[in-house]
Amino acid sequence: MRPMSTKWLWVLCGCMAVSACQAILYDAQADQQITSLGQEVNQQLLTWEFDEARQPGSAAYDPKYYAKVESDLTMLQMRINAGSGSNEAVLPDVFSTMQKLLDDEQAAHSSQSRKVDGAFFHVERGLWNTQLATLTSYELALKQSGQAQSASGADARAKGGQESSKTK
Amino acid sequence: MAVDWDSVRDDAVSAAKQALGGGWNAVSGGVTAQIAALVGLANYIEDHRASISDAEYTMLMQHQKMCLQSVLTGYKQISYAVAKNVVSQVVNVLLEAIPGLLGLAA
Repeated sequence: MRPMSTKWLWVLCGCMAVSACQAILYDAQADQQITSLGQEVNQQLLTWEFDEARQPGSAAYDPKYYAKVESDLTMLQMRINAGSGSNEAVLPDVFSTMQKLLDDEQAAHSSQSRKVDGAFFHVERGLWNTQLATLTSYELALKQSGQAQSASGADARAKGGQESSKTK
Repeated sequence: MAVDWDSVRDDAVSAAKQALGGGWNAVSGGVTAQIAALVGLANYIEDHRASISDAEYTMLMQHQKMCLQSVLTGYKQISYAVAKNVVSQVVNVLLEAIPGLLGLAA
């Protein structure tokens, strides 16, 4: 195999430096995953809350729900961390809090000896939403900063166009 | 005696504002909304105290603290130590208003 020429090594280093300095970009897929997770959690906890209000003890434990939320949460965290372009985790406390909420809810719900009240599901849903709101704010902030950057870029290009037409 | 939850919310926001000092302006909107939401949930928990078991009650109160702290550390401007202090101040306000709150003091 031929050794890489010095010129290409410099080009490669330049590309790596540029990508390392790139701002974190808004990720529409991560945003969609946050929305889906929020819908999933709200829908299920609300259903259990209503079930309990109608008939105490009727909110049947569903391990599939807890497995699905855990999986979706892991995928979301991976997606957001991968998009940050850094080794530093994004909002690690928010993710660990949501994992703890899920684990504790599952432990309480699956316990045969304890009855879980509808009010429990109501409060837990509210707590999930405080964490999901933080993630949504994070993505919206990225979206807004991206829009601001493209607007200033467009302004600069428009200004550049005016300058060049003046000189013609 | 009935608890005036609006006052509790306002006092909790004031306590957070004081604990955050100069950093308050940058985060005031979001933090105020989060504290209001959490005080609202504390109110709901107290209203349904009779139907919630002690174990769940303690868990919910601990979750409240944990959620507020993680929301605060989500702000770049708020360090872990400051977030813990804000949570402690907000909890003090709640304990003053409702001395019987289990879980929060732990």
